[in-house]
Amino acid sequence: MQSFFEWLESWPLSVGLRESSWMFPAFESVHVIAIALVVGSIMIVDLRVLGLASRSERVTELSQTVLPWTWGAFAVALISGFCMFASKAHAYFGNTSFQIKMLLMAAAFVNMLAFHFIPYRSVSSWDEGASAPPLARLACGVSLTLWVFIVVMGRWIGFSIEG
Amino acid sequence: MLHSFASWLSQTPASQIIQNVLWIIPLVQTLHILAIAVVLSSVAMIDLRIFGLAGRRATMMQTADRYVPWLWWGLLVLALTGATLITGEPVRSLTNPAFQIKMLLLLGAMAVTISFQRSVRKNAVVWDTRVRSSASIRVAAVGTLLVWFAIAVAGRWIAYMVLEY
Amino acid sequence: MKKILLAVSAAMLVSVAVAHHSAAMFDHSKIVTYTGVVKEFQYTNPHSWLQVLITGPDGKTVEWGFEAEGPSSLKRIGIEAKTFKPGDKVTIVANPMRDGRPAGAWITATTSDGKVYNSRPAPPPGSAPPANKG
Repeated sequence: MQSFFEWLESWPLSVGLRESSWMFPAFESVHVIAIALVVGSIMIVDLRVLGLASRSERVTELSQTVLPWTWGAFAVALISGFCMFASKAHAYFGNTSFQIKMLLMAAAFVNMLAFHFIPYRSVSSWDEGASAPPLARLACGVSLTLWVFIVVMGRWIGFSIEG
Repeated sequence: MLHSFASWLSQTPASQIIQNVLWIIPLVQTLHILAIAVVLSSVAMIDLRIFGLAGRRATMMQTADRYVPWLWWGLLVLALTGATLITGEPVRSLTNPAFQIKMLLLLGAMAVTISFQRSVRKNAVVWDTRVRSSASIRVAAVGTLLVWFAIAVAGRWIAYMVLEY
Repeated sequence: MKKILLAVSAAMLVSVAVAHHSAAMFDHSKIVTYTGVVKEFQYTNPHSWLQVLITGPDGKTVEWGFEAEGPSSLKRIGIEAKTFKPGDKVTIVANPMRDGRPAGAWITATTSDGKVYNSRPAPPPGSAPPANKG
């Protein structure tokens, strides 16, 4: 593991991120904007299923038009995040807030799969109005909570990163 | 003058509390980021409607009525959390070039938002029939989103452009 | 809606409390001064670290790390990567870590030629040092 981290940290991009005066802030900025779009778009879909917003839109139509952009933003967040991680891999890997953030994201992923393979199967019967089944609402409530935690942990990495 | 105001602010009890209770700034920054998510996504959803990529069943006015309130509530949270962050570190924020640029861009973005709201109310029919073929509207939509992105970038750069503490 | 806001606020407070324990927190009410030899100056983003070998009164040598801002901020106050070279003698004034680990928040570093390098301009007397490092 140690030599893997050293290898990541030896990449020219990693060196650049550590030593350049503008590259790290640039990657961070892209990362924050991407995260804002991921979390904001997920909120839009979650609030719809919870029946708290956009009730006049069909669940399927809203999620089919919004979620591709969520994935696009997520890809940008993942790539920018990975580059920052690689620049001080051993330090980020050992950082508690980073670890918790990754675990929460894994949980959010599992939650999303559960939502799509279980309650979402019957979406045609609750596509209109605010009548989503309890399991769908639970998954969306969990999703909102997890993503708030994820943002908190992400911000705390900046305050706690060592080395 | 800005500097003496900032120095005065840093000596107030409110400022001292924010500086000394260590979890306040990270928590307030997190709320700030969540509000950014609400604002950017609201602008993006309006833009998706303008480009005919989402919410096509709704009229432009309905889309504006749905997302613009979230935008303004998000901005209110940003103003309150922002004011808290400034109060905690007045000199660091107010004398900061990145912060100053951010505020100027913000004024621009708010002016565009108000102008958009007015236009949709006055010219609802035009918005629903001609907007997708209007290049200037689409350019303005993308341009506005980029300005909001620039505001977020300037915000991140505050940490890197600190001239004084 | 209220239940969601409550759950979300609770989640945030809990996670901030949890994160607090693992943070690299410095005790801003304490100041330590050490003289030692530079082992390495990690002039990097997001934070730079001046690694210094300090020999205690017991004769044991401990490596201390002193944290400062990244290159963007340090360059502006005249600190370059080559300002502190391995083997240089240095006197550091810092806020130590709360948990006693050999690390601190760099306040000033004085090189053997007498030059003093603040990692940031000194705050006005009576006010707490900046809490925002991120």
